Amino acid sequence: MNHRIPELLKPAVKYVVLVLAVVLIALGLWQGEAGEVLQKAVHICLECIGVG
Amino acid sequence: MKESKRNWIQAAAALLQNAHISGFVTGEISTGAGKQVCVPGLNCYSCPGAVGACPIGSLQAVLSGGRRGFSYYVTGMILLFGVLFGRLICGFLCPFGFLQDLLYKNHTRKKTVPPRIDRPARYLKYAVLLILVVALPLLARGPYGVGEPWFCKYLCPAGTLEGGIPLILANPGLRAMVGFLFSWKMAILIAILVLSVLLYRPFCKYLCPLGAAYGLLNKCSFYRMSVDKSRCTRCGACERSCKMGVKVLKNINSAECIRCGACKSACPTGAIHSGFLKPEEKRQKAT
Repeated sequence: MNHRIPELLKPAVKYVVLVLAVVLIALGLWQGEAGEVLQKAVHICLECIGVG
Repeated sequence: MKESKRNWIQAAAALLQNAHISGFVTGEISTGAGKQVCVPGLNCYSCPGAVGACPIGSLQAVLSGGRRGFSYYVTGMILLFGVLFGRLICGFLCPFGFLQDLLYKNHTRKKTVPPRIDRPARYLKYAVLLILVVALPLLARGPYGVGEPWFCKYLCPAGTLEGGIPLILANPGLRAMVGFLFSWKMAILIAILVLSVLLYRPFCKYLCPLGAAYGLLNKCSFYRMSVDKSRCTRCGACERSCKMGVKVLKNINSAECIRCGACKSACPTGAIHSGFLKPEEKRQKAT
């Protein structure tokens, strides 16, 4: 069975992914994930720099 | 586009993503609100200069935090960057990619990895993304229900170079904490830097999880490369010029293409196009 995306639908994929990305970002913002990222990013991550 | 012009764009992007210059002197990182937004490239948020958050570090931070099984925000950011630009980010905006480009300019005799090793090794970066960035931070939890950022902790050379070395030099408190883990990470960093002199972008080709994610989106991204078959003479100059080993004529939007434009510059007939518009739309606009 051929599972490849039909030629006609190919151009639509990028728009679907774009909309999905925007929806995910909006959902994440609504759930307060940006604050979580900020909390982690404003403190030195000891594991990331190799001393944690 | 000339290689030197691309290098200037890379330098500007690295500076913009690390514009908190005073941090390198004080040994402290930026605490600005900009850090809730992910930058497109692999740029450690514990770098004293970083003004934004690393997408891979942020993804692991949310997944290992014990509160969520999925990160909508960071996944959305990676998808957004990827679907707009694909691996153009690797070629133009990633500071660690830029460093590897600079090291490769050294006039040492270059090496090539035999295809029987190179081809399977290219899949390693997908394993790094799935295992070290997603699965282990999410599933390997400590006694308090919190996981670890496995990729950052055990593999990421950008964190050691951009965060570890400057912070340890400027901060005596951190210097006292240096142990085996730092030695391990320094060994990885040195190995990758040495390899970068001999091979073109070894970290991007084989290990970078962000490059893996953007590579998967290369095929459907808005920014694309294309070959005008009516102009192409199949001379092969494009494939000979590609340092990422992309089969340009067969699969120009391959997951390995970092959109550096070397093939476009090498093409004697101007058959290779890149941009947000399809070549035929571009020609119509020009006339």
